[in-house]
Amino acid sequence: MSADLTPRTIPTWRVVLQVIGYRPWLYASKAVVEVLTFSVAPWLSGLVLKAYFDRLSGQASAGLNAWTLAALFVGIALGQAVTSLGDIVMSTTLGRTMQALLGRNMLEGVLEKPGARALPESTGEALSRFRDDTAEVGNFAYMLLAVPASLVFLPVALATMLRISVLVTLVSVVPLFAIFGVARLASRRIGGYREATRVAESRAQGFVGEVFGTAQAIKVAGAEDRVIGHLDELYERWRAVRQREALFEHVLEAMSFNLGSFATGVTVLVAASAIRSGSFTVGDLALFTTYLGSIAGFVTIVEQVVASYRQAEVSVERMRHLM
Amino acid sequence: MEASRPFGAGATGLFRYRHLLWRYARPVRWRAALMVALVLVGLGLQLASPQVLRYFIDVARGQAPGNLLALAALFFAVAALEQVSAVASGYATRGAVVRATNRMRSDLARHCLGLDMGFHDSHTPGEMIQRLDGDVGALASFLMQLVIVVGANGLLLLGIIALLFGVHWLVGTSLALFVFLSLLLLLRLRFIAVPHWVVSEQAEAELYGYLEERLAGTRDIRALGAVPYVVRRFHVFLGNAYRKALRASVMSGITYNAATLLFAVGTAVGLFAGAWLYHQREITLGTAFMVFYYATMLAGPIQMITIHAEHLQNATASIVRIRQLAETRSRVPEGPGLELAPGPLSVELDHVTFGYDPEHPVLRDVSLGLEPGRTLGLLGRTGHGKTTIARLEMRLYDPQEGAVRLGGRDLRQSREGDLARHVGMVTQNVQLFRASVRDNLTFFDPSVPDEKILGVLEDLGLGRWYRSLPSGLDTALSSGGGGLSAGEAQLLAFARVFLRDPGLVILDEPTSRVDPATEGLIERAVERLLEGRTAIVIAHRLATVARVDEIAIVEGGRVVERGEREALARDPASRFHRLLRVGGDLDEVMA
Repeated sequence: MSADLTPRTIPTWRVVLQVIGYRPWLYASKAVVEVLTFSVAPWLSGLVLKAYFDRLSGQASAGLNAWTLAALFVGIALGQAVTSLGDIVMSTTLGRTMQALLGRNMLEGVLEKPGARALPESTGEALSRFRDDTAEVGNFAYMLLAVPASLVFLPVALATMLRISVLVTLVSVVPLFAIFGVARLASRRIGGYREATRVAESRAQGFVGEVFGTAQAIKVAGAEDRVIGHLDELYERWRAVRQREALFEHVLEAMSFNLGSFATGVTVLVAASAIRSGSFTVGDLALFTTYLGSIAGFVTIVEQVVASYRQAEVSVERMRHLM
Repeated sequence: MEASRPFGAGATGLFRYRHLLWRYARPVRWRAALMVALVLVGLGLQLASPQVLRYFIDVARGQAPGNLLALAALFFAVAALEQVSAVASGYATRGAVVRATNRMRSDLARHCLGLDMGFHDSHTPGEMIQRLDGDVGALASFLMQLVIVVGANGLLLLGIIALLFGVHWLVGTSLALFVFLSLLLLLRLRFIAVPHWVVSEQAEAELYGYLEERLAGTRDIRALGAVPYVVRRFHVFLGNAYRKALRASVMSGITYNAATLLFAVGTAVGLFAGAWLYHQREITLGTAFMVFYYATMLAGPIQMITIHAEHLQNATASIVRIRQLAETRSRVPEGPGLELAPGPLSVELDHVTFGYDPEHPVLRDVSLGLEPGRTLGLLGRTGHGKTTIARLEMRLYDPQEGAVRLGGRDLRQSREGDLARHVGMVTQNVQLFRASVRDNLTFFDPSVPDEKILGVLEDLGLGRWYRSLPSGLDTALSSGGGGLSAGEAQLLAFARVFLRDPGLVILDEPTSRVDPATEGLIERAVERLLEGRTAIVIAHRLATVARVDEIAIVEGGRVVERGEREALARDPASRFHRLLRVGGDLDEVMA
């Protein structure tokens, strides 16, 4: 009922738990919807694709026919769209409820403060506590849901793949995670590149401002061409660092989001002889192709959750300060 | 309405401004060619990999001859090369586009710098940053989008469809229809959430507006016992904001989920067509797999096109603004060129009438002559035309009537830069760049020898200041001259003029008070500046006026008194005589 923020000993995660506990059923049903949308649907799609190709190739003679399976594929997507819309409704409701709870407690705390103490900060800043910091805590609360959603998909997908072929699964998934880990580590360096670009950009922009603020003196000195020459140098420096940043970004992108086709390539290479002998079917290949593409995306989520918790900690501290 | 024709505005805009674009594409055409080549290679690889996969499967199932491992290795190589080419083409695209746009920025800056001061008076530096960085930047991202959207993704879609037609007309037709319909639908859906978000933001604004007012008056609320009432009202506003946000989120969700659902439908179309043809024995299993693979590949480019279609519209306004700037002509047109002899120059204003706005002349029929080597003190109240006279001498503006002559030659004959060697100006506002001391003094002219700069600094009494600089002439000054005293900045402005050694100097004497030591240095600098040159001094101090040969008093845009300083000083009927008698600061006395 109450998200008590005042005692300074209560850690942020307890605050978040209290907020979650305010509407436990809403939170729980959102978790179910998330698992359905982001874990069950992609898992089922993979199975349907496998069944379709196995049926087509005659490697599975029983079960649903190819037409039904293609229709089922659309049916799963339709179900996914419905649960996803439900997820949006719950997210908004949950987020707003948490904001309302935190906001009301803060408002009461501020208004009923003993004595005639004024706000410890400006009205604008206090407003930001109500608007932005409550949203951060709510944001973390449902970021947390992405973890069970991916925690369901990863082991289930891996188990399905391992049952098909231990060797192919290991050989295709391990390099995927390895490359992905390297990309994650490398991505920490992007901050430095961004900063260099920002500095070079503001140098060039600043100089444009100076030039047009000094137009008269430049014209009097007849220095138009030389000043533009200097501007060109600043632009060129900006371009160089920006392009370096872009290169780094493109490499990271190739190493994380576009890994699907690369992983398929590894699968094909490893599974070649098994496919010939028939122990690895074309349906299995389709399943691996879809799952490998999805697995890459899930790893980023864990990082986002960690970042979001840090943000929530800062926000809770700020809200305490206001009260 | 807009949503239904997302390419309309952008495409016609691009066509209309192709000359502008071509001018900047040309210098980078080899890079652009490389970029196009890399994009095409990438496309080729993307289109090739499912074909390899098809052969691989057919060979594996014994339906085609071939080396299975070699095909697997080929598929792997194509997939890996795809990544490399994506990086390379992304890098090359950015390089070509950024180079072209920076050149456009620089050309535009050069063009605007060459425009008359009237242009600069009406465009703030902030606005120029917005034009050069904002608008040219928008154009740059427009070009990037164009390459990505129309170029790469459009071609990828076309390529996939063409290859699917190669498999069977049924597959080609059904998936081409799918692409067409989903583009149509998604481009329409893109904007349905926008009005709902506007309403939602409105509700948020009301909520936080209410909250802000209460927070500003917490004490009164407590005193009146209105806390429960305020909390209740807060809840009402929260509820309203929630309902509006929910509706907007759902609308956004519909757009997003429609796309996901559509792509599943596309894949299913591929699956249906594949199953049908396989059962008809028209295609092999490998081909069926390839059709499936291509069908899943359609989602990416369709998504990219719908996302980036917005940007294609936004650039048109920027292109219009850029073109307006590029087409602005200077009201101080270039003459055939003006060669002046070095040394002191004569100055003449011949029946000059001028107004920044021609309807409201600042100077009316002003005639004023000055022999070479003589110095003239211009006196008058602020806003009565002294500074305007100085600006006309520099040809920062052309008069509407009459002529301004230097060394007997009409300034209208001059070209940009002709006067800089002969006329120097020291203004009250000294503007410094965020650049090295050397660049600030020489205006980025590397041909000025260091000894000359050091000589001038020593002569001006800045030797000690110079020796305190951590890296000498390479020391960076901050923008606006932070770290320099007003007097030091003023002396640097003198140094700029001494380095060019012009035959005519115009000095707008500083009014700001500086410390006595620096004031002594400035007075000595003024003295040296007036030696052996023709000079016009907009004087604010009696001490300065005491050094000039002649005096002109300007009032209401006319010269109301003119003569030898000493003669005027002796004549009790003159305005100048009265000024000297009252004494003090000239500005205050005349006001």
